[in-house]
Amino acid sequence: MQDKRRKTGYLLFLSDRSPLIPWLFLLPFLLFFLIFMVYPMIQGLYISFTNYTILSERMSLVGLRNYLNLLRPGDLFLISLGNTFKYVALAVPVLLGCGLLFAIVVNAPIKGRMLFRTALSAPFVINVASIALLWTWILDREIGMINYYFMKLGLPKQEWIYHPFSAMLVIVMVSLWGRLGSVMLPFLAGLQDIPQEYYEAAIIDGASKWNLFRYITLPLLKPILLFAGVSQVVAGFQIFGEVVMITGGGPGYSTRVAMQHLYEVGFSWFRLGEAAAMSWILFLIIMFFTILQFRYLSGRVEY
Amino acid sequence: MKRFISVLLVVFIVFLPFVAYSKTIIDFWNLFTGPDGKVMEELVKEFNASQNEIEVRMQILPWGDPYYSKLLLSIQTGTAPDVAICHSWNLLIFAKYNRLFPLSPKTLEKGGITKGDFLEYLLTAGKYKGVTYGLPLDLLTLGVYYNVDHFKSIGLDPNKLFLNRDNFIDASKKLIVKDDKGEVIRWGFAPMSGDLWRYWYSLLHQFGGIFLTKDGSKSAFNSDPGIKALQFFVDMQSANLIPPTAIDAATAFRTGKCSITISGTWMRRGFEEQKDLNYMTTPFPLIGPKKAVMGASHLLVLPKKKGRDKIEAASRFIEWLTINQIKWAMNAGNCPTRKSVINSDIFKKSQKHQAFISQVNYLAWLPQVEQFLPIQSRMGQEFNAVYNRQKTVIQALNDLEVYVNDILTRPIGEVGK
Amino acid sequence: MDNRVKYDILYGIGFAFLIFLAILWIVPILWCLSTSLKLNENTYTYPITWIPNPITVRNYITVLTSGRGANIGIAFINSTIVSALTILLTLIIDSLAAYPLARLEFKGKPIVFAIVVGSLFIPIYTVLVPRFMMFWRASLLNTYWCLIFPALSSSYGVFMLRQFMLSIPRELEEAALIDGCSRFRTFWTIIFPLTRPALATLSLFVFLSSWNDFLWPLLTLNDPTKMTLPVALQLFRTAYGNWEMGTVMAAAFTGTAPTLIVYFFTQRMIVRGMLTSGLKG
Repeated sequence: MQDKRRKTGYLLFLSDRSPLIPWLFLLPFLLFFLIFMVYPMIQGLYISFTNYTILSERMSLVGLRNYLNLLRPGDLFLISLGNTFKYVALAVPVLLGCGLLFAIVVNAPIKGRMLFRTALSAPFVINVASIALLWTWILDREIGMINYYFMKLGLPKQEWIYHPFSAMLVIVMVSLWGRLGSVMLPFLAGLQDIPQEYYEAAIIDGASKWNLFRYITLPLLKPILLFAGVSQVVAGFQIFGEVVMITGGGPGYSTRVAMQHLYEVGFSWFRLGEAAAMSWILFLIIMFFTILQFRYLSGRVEY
Repeated sequence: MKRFISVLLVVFIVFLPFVAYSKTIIDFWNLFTGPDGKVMEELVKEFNASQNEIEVRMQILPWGDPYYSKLLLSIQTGTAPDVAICHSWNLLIFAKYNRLFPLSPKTLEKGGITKGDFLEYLLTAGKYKGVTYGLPLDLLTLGVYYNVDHFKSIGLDPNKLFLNRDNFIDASKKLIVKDDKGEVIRWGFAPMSGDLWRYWYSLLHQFGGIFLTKDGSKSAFNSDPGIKALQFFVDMQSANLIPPTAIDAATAFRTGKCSITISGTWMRRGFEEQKDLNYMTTPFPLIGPKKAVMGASHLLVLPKKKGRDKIEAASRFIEWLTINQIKWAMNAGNCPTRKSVINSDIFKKSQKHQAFISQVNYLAWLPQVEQFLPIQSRMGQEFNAVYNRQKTVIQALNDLEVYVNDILTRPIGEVGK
Repeated sequence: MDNRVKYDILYGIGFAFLIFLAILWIVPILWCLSTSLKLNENTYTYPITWIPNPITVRNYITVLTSGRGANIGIAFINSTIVSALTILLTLIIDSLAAYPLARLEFKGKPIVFAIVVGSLFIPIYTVLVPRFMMFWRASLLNTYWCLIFPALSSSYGVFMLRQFMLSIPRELEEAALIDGCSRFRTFWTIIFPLTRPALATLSLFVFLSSWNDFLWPLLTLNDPTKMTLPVALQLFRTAYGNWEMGTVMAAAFTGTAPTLIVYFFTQRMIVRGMLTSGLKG
């Protein structure tokens, strides 16, 4: 049987021992990966040193000009970057904290926990455009539902997206609402994975609830915490849809974020070179934070 | 199986007439995202019904950002619509880089350009280097919208109130209504945050300033008039005469939560639709020493595509729109551009239009430079930052000046081809 | 005894808080649904009403047939096609790539794996401009392919499937190999079917990310007849004012319903999928 098959048409390089076999498996993926990930990264770096626009006939190198322009004090890019940092600093800890807390709560043996799980995590499957439509309607200052109930309860009407401070809070709030599920569910999975015996043993030893959490739950969730932390920071730096569709970056510049600025410069005002330079600055920043988190959190985590 | 085939057959027979009798399809893109979009939709329907060779499909895209980038990209990638709307101040981006078809002599004739049937400025608004690329569909300018009932209730005469600065401030003050706790429940004047830069641009000219130097190469607004124009709003704000943070003034005006707002001709249709809103219009208030108010126009243009076979049909559509511009004017609220229409009885009877069209002799036209899109976006942000007390008047104007001068030195593309 | 009472009270408070939270989280969705079933002129009444009177599906009919600004019906079909193709191709390509990374030994494996893991954290904007130019030059803007191809370069699925494959006992495979099956046959007849739970989870994630993607389609689709739902929704919103909220909310809900429905039925699977696969490291 074996011999027959070999004879009837297996080429040598397809034989099982051939070193090419693994690469043949990898080929389709690597092809897409090289064309649509690796090549654009390198190409992007090159474009960032040119003055290329959508209307240009050719690319001419301008050296570091794009980068220097972006880093001029007072440039809108720096303002947007500052807002992005503000957003990340506010949203990521809140998301991770709430995600972990709610995961622990809905993992507890309570009635109808499946229902609670569904309710709290469902919004993470909603697309950002729908989320934005929903919340602009709810937060409308004149006819929105939230201000209606605020008035009913005798609270002052809120400005929401019309005030610089509350506008940023709205974005954070909406992200929390919409992204909670994507943080909570991994934590939940991690919690379910912790063997009950660990807790039982510790309880026999007389450990308090806090110590159970501190010395069993948290260390075992560390890989997930790391993963969630890194991916939320990366996602946070890329916040776009919520801002563009809810506040539009306003009022003034108060919620204008880096991604939005990049989009406008590159694709509304056609300056692709400048946009590419921005993306590389952002990339370096994200890399820095990612490495920092890995250093700080990883410890003995193995991948 | 038999049944399946027979169903297929029936479907085929039903749709056959549509396939066999195909019309020339014209794609028409515009940026009428407000209530005016509905009016254009009705007009397109009317055009489609008026003849049976051309079928226009209309697409509304958001104003500003996505609209112009989508339009330009669609031209670059060969998927452009056959007809598009373009603001007069943005014509250069397309015309300078050769992205439009010039209009044919026949269209110029039918549209009324050759006969000089347009307001003076608008005769040149659609031109670049002597070639006409766009037919002006309408005239855009600002005016005051006020709530007649509110004025009556405190016995103010609206007609005199916008004649000078003091009257305007006085009216704004008197119209404010407060509750027992001293909180404002109705504003006199509420500015539209999206229109702040348009107000400022008008006032800049009222105080005798200009926006760019004559050749359009440098900024000229960071001067005494520019500062005075912006300071006016800051003063109104510190005197608590306008809301402390920008509000959705259109909604507020519709629901009777403010008595005066200033906006463009394009808002009229929306206010018209509001039941029990009794409003009137007057010209833009005179705040500075001389009259001036912003002006611009929507142009109908033919984006460049590979084939030329649809130009004829597309031209017929834009001719039809220009000829029927009275319907657009009456229903969408914008002013007509042709003298014959402006002087027609039906238009003269429309009082609410007259306030806008009466300003035609002192319009401050928005500059036609290719970078105006990012410039106006930046203006809007800077002035909103001032409104929200994140920047001072001087800071905002300085920052704006640096930005404008920088971007004016950088053209978007090279002129080739 | 005392402790018991204390515990009960705490439990009660916690439970009440949880109910409050759950309501808070669900209310926006319900309000959207409620608004979408109202006549437009009934959407801004004072005091607000939760149960529409009369209940109408007119808004949904408008949205799916003759909406201004964007055709949500067509967008719905586009989104479905793009998601389906993306899922199908991702499953094939990623499971093929995951297999050697989990099972075979070869030179360069650590490097490939490091790249796979590393690229998980590459933000999209680093490649935004050049990718856009690539598709532009290839005249592939405004096609389904410009949405599908970039999704196939994501290494998330490879990573996840590889982790899952590690947990499949080697014995099953070895038996097949001894019987004379080729590597590819072994993969196809033994490993691929066993990976099914992870494949299901992966399809779900790919579905969500492709259905919900906003930025990339916003950039690459100019042609309204090719737009996917989130982009179409944005266009749709701008064509309507605050005064037609019923219609706008009907559009929003139309865009949301498929993902919500899928989520309700597959929720357990998602958590289990995260448990058995890459996410927990």
